[in-house]
Amino acid sequence: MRQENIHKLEKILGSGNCQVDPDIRRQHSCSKTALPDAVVYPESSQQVAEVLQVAGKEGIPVVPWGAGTMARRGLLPLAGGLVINLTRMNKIIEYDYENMTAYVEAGIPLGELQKTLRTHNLYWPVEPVEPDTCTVGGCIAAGASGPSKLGYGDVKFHILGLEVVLPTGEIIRTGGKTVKNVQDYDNTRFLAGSWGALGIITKAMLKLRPVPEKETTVFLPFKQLADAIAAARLIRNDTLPVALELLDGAAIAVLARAGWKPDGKGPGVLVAYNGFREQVDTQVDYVKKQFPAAAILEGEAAAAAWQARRQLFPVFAGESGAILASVAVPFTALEAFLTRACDELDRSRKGAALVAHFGNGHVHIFLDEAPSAYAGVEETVNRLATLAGDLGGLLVVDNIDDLTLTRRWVEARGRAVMELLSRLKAAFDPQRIMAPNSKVLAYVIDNSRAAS
Amino acid sequence: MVEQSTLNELVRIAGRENVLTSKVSLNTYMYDASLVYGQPEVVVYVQNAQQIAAILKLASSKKIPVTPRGGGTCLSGGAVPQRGGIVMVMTRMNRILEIDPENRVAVVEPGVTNMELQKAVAPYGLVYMPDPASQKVSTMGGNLGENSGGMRGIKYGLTRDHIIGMELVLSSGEIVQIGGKLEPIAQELNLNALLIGSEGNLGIVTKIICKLTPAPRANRTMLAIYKTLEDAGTSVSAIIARGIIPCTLELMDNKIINAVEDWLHIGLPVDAGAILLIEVDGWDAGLDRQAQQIMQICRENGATDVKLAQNARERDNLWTARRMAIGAIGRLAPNYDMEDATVPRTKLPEILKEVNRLSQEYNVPIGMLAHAGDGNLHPLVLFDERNKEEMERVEKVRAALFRKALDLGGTLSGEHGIGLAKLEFMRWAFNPEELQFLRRERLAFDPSEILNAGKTVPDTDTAA
Repeated sequence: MRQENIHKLEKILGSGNCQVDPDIRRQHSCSKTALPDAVVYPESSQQVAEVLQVAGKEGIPVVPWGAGTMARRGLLPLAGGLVINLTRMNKIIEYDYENMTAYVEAGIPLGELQKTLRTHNLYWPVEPVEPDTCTVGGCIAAGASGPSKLGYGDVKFHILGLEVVLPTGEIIRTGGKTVKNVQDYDNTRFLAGSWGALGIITKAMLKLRPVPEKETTVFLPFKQLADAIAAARLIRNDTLPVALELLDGAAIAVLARAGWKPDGKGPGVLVAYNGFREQVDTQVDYVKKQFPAAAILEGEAAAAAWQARRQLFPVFAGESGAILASVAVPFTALEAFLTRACDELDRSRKGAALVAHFGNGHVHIFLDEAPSAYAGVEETVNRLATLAGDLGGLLVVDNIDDLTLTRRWVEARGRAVMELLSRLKAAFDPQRIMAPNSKVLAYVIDNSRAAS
Repeated sequence: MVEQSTLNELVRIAGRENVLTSKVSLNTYMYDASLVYGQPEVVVYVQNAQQIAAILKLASSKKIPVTPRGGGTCLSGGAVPQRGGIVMVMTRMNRILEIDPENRVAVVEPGVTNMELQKAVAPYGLVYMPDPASQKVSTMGGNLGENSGGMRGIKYGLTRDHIIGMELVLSSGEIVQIGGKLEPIAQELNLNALLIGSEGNLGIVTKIICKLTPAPRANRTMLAIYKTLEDAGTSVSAIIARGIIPCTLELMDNKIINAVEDWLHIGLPVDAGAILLIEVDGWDAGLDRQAQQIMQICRENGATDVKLAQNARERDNLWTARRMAIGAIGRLAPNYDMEDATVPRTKLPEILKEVNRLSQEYNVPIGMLAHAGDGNLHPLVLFDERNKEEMERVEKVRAALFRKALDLGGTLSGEHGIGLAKLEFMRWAFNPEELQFLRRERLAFDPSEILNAGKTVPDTDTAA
């Protein structure tokens, strides 16, 4: 980036808020070699807007950034350009506990927010991998979700409105404060999961929930995968859990390394119920009756189990990294998929683990190969993708730079889809400066920048 | 102007019997359930996506306005062809294509009514949660276009929470698939969000994939009686503040109570200033305690009496009272206009007071219904459209009401849409940059500006 532009940015932000130090740039990148030219730390939406105006005029690519905990899932490596770190915009503007909303700046850490919300017995039901450090804006941009998406849905169900700085420098508001609101097109939910490709989320109106009266977790150990699948199916169909996770034997072993050691060595099912006391007791009693081996977890024991579950992939991946594939199949095809996928992995690859958001028909497959060595497992992944496809489902790899499988899926939506997406991109970002490395549009827009 | 050659082409595409141009037919399709109207030049009954694609291609090339229409129950003018052109009637696309009980999804054509879907899934113990009061007549396509709500919205959400995919015809005539039955794991943008509630501006939907929910196992229904609307409004916040989220929290004022009672004679308290109809549902275990807590909270907040429905008949009576409210109010004046501004829940007492004040100041009778748990008001403004002087007062009341709702942090519309009826107020809710952005977004979907054009987003930033 030209020195002249750095000066312009420093003038907007103050010199300490525009960093070109290589270490800082490295912390804001998705590879060891492709770094941004500078990292800026705005303190207000107005500053974000002014930075974007400079970037627009100069044609500088801009990538918004929170805590960076999810970056590898949604962004490709990008050399050059500007990263806008939003963590200095971290205030709670309004906590309206009576209306169960909070209006916050995007850079507030989720853990800090939850602590404040608890003072009035409310919480924001979003539980990403790093629930303390990640930012609220990051959760929204990344479309974050955790096991409780079965009961409550992903992050888009928990936001009512946004303030967004468009890459043209305009500051717009979407949605509002009320749950029922049909004034504007629903850009609030549209921008959830847009990974910075369209604009920068600077503030968010969050929809909160009361902390449930009772929360109980149940763990069911099994010897055979088939038995675990049958149990999970019964539990989903008969008991309406908030979260329902199925882990194969390998995943259970990782769980122990991640800080929570369950009974048994085989596959397991981890279930959460919450709500009113009598209701939770009824649900849990039913499970106990069906499965006498069920272990009931409450309080800290339950928290430890779920914390280990969230940390499953980071622990599995360790220092050397691992490949994370996501599969979606119809609920009724889960049994077939899980059974055949395990057979396939037993045959072609040791060192894999499998965990399903069972109620959502969503399976994660971990492969112990660094993302940079994807070629080594591509054949296995492709066989699993075919298996998912044959069952009416889909497989994508979350943390590699190859978007072939995703592109194929989107193209199958109809010939006009790519053009439509490209026109939409232009409606937000006529100068094409917003996150050219954002995976959700990288296969649609001219990607030469991301590749350089 | 729709030329003869265009009419011939429409006949070729849809069949002669499906293209209507007689005066009587055109007059029939001038209206929806709002007060605005406009005459189309031709009405076409469509039967499949290919016909729609061909018609849109034709209309795009000739810049003919197209207004999609389902049951015609829209309350904001969404189905009114104020620019002439083609009314595209979707009601013959009325097949339920698939019910997949264990995967809890259904696929329907847009002309299926909400109630038809409810009835079809009920035998499997499933529910399609959104339940607009118009559900016997309003179609799933219309529900999608308007992001319809209903009585269960507070606990179970709106249309946008329950539609996960669709087949869409773009104005260019191209067909695309949006979303789908599967958990959305691919790295792609969520176009469902923009389309649900887009009021037919962005495309025409030809298939809808709906999420189904296991039917709640049990419920308890209560009636709380109050001297004043404000007391009822205060109770609403108090209930939710205790961590109880009822599936229904409906409010009715004295005018509506009396209109319903005069008509149906079901024993409503005609002297009450307001009543709340409250229902909790879910697992049977624990519901009694929730109901007791709610009744206690109502009493603490000024309820003069609280009753728990003792059997199915008592519950049905309460529900009938709510469902028939709008029909009943129709007996009081030649016309009514039902608004649907929202405010944050805690602002309910304040806005209820203001509506009362406006009603007196402008001498315009207003009945008050509200999906109170959502802060979603349904003031029914009563008048005679033929009385010009009265209409001027009605317009002033509407404007003052919207102004107040926005000042309190609310919105112009919770579930009925902007359409034509609230278009002029959009400039109060959004600044010029925001409106300009919404226009750009609309053009990205419909560059030829034929789809329900002139609605939802005002064409220019300054009032005409």
